[in-house]
Amino acid sequence: MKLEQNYFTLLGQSQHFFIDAAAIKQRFRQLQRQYHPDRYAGKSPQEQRLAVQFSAHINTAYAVLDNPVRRAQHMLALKGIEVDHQNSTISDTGFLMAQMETREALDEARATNDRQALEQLLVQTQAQYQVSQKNFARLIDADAIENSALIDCVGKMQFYEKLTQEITTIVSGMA
Amino acid sequence: MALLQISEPGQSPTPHQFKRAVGIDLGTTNSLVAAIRNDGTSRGSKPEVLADAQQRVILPSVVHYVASGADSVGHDALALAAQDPHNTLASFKRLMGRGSDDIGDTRQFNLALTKADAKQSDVLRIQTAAGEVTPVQASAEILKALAQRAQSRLGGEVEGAVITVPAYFDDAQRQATKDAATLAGLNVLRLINEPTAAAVAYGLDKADDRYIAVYDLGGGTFDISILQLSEGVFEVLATGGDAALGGDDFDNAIVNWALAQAQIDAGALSASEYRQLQLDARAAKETLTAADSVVIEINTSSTTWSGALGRADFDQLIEPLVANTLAACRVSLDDAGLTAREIADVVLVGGSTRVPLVREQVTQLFEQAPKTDVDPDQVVALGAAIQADSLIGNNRDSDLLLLDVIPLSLGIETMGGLVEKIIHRNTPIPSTRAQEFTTYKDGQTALALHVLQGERDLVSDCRSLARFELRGIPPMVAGAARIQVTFNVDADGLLDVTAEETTTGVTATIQVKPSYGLEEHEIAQMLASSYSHAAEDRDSRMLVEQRVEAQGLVDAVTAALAQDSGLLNEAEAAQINQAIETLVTIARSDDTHAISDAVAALGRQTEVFAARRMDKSIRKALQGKSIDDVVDS
Repeated sequence: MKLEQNYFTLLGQSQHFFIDAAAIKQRFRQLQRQYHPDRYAGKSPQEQRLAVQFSAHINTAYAVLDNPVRRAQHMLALKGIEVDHQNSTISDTGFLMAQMETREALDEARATNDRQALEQLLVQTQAQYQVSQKNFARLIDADAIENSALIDCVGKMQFYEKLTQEITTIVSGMA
Repeated sequence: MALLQISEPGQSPTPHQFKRAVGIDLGTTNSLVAAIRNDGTSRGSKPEVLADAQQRVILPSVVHYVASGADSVGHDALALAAQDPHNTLASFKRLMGRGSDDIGDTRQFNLALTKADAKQSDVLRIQTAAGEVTPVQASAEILKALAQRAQSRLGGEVEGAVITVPAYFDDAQRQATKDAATLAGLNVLRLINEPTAAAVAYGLDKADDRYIAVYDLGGGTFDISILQLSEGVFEVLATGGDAALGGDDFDNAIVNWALAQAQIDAGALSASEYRQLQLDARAAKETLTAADSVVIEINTSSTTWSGALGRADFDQLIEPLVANTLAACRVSLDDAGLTAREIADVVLVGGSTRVPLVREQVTQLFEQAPKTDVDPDQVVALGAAIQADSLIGNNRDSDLLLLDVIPLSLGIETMGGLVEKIIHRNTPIPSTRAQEFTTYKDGQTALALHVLQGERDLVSDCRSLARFELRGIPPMVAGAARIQVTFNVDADGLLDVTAEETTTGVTATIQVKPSYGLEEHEIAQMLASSYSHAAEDRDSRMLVEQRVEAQGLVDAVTAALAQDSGLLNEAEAAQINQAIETLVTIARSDDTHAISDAVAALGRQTEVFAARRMDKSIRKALQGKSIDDVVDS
């Protein structure tokens, strides 16, 4: 069974990286209201099974668009750009150097239980994450851009996302 | 497909007919049943808990067995607990979906647990006068008693039930609960999570759009759920807990304290004496909610002891347990991406939230006094009744929609005893995820799959749900086969797994059941041996049900064709019409299996049609927007 594979279409958004989060949430709820299996509880098992599939598909679409990294990956997939996650490496050496330094700073702040330093790192990482997202939004809308540049950019976003999560976990564990 | 036959607002396809639907809170200590009655107004009716003939709403989750089977449940069984401990089953919810190796301290259950023999699945069995009894069978007795109560209160057979489970229940525990309902002859509309049900009972008429936390500490389980409420949608953002932490553990802490104070070895107590001490401990705990101190006595054939337990001592005994619940709350807040301050309301559910230390600590964590205006013992059943009423179709204008999540990650064993997660915890359900695996040896023709649930990386630290094998893979070099494993979690939170070798189409499917669940044939056997379901009765009922289903599907497809035949080409339409004719012919026969096969065949034939209708309706819904908004620029 083939359901709408373009999650932007499914959730009623034009295909740009920056989306209206409130609008997709509303659209998501509206679709679930229509297709959630609870709406078919009294219907035949066949229909219930289909409702499970539809509803699961809507859940996936929302989860993808709601998350910047997954949304960017989805946009690449829609453009037919395949990303080999295991073998893709970031080629920007300046970025890699900067990240090694950030790692060291993080390790030190964690070792010394330095909350202030951790919070500072968090703010910095979040800012960098924002910048990488703006870069991606610009690149994906531009014509004649190398696929590798897009893949590189998503790689960086992924890095900042993970680091943000890691620092958040450490900070909340300190409370 | 009727899937898209949702009537436009204001036009019902069939005349409104009230159906009897109930919500059941199947608790560790107590169970309840609630319903919305048909009072003629149909809208805005309030749910109520249903009382027994003595006006008692609570049914203790206790079953007493004699040689011929279960002879009493509830209050009557509880009265026999100390007198006949081995035949009086209590707190068996804590044993649901568990294997014989799962239970550490068997003493607290005070039951004669037996090991499964080689022919049986690894399900805990309890030795009673009636022979071996599984926790599923004991639960079914409770469900039957509640269904009977509902039938007499509502004036007719119950047509559907929503049964609540702890949010933190794993797949095996959920499946065991569903099996119990099958045994009890109930039509399960949905399993829903206890905290979500509580939120429904609380949230309907309150102000909109905010975050709430439900802290649910029952007799045997603890759940924390963080929800977002908006326009009738209850969206669970994160859930967490401990499926083996509850008021029973508070009682056991008091038991162990008393035994230590009295310098009595637990083994020196008879089963009756031990059960009596457990009952006294529970009473002492309840007394300490209002009193500063309580006297506990131990009277055995050899010794007598009595001592005072102060509130502060009790708080100290249970402090580590309460601390565990708070840690789980913090994790769930993180998972939801919220801070404690962003929570607008904290709702307390479960009898154990009456313990003062619990209230104090929860108040401190969320920096606000928790809500307790709906009886914490009843709130879950009331919420389940609201959902049951909505699911069975009594309230067509209802805005109510529950969007829940899976509490524990699901994955598969990979090389080196590691677990690869396929669906992560807190993923909204229903959910479908696929992952590709490959063979690791040249010429490998089978692949063993081990399905696990849990957060840890090692197989040995996660819960085994099932093992199955994909066979008949054509021999290829290592790494050439492409085996797609698909996990499907339905709206009950139950998993099924399919595996397919995509280059050849070899498939295997399992409904995840085994490791600690009853096999299909065991349930069939239990059903057959229960006097309420004679075999012939069941067969003729199944035939009738199949015919009804066949007719329903034919009607639905016919209606859909009348509306949207334009979505099909001639060949497709011809195929569907052919399948309809076949089904209509076969449905006249008495062959239940053939009808069921023909229903499935028509279902498959119409899947693509249903998907196209979904697409069409999605596009229609978008028409309100400007073209620029929709079309890819």
